[in-house]
Amino acid sequence: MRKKVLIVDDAATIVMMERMILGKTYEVVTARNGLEAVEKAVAEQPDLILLDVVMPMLGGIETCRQLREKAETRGIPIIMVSTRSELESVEASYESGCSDYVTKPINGLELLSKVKSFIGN
Amino acid sequence: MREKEKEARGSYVHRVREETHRFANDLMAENEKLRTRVAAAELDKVRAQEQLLALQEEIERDRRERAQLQRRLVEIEVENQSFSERFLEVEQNNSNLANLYVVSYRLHGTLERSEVLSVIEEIIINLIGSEELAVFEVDQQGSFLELVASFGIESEKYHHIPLGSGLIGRVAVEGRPYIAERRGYEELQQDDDLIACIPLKLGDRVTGAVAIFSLLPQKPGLGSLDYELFDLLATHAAMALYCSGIQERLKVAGNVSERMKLEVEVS
Repeated sequence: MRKKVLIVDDAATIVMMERMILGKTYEVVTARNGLEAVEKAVAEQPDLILLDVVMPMLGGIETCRQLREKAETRGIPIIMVSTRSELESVEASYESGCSDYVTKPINGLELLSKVKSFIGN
Repeated sequence: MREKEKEARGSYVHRVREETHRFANDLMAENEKLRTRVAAAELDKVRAQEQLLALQEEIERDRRERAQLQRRLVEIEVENQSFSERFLEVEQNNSNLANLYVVSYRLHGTLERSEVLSVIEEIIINLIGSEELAVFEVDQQGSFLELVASFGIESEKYHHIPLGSGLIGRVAVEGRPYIAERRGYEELQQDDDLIACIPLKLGDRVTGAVAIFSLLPQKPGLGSLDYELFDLLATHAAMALYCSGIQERLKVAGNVSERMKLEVEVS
């Protein structure tokens, strides 16, 4: 059975691009904001979550916190994806409980190798 | 008495002779045995030497084989390395193609003007890596560039740019992109804030321009994929904006026609 990745981003272009990069190897489910991400993570039980930091309704950092508070999603690796590379942004993300941090523009190979390092093929 | 002595001496001589004879026979037999053993030992030695030679040849053959295998191993490792590099290259190409496909798909996936503009923004922010950008269109009279979308800049400064004025205005007139890294447009004063300015073109006609003022701090510079994206934006964004503009005008025309019909009915 293929491992499952939840892609969370409000930019459809990024969702589509990440789906193309990861879709060959993993089953992909998507969410357009933080609230939808929490619901989908509980319902779908993905093996990994790719979470955009800047999103409407519920931002990535708060979403990550909520996912870490829930027993059903606490153990899922979360890779934060952001245009922000400043130390404060990276620190805030790690403090919220993310497992790794990737900056945009996304390098397809780098992203795939990070995801593989967490959940394998 | 003499007779007895003579007899005794004779018997002694006889005994000595017999014993000597027997001893000589024993010696000869022993000698024969030794000779046989020596012959056998020599045969063994020859065999051992032959075996030694055979073993030495075998060792030499194994050594040669081992050296050959080591050479092959090195060759395979080099080949393996080259395949890995090739694989990475192909994966990178796939990823780049995926980007280009996504850009093209997204630009032509809608006829809503606002959505086309936000797709252009998404592409520049997320795929090129800039959070300071502006999208312009040539006005209907063909004398100004009008700012139709922007992100992260003081938009008032770029509201109307006369065609031919400054780098952005010149790009719209000349129809060839300006890339700060590659320079070009040397006759003009370079604008240090401008990283790139891409004319939007329908055929040879310039319909607008996209200006990029900075790159994200983690992005060291523009790469080959960015140039491909610029090429794609130049034609596909122009086409998407043009089509969405027509759609918008059709909508307005439709509304006017509906309103006129309604007015006729009411009156």
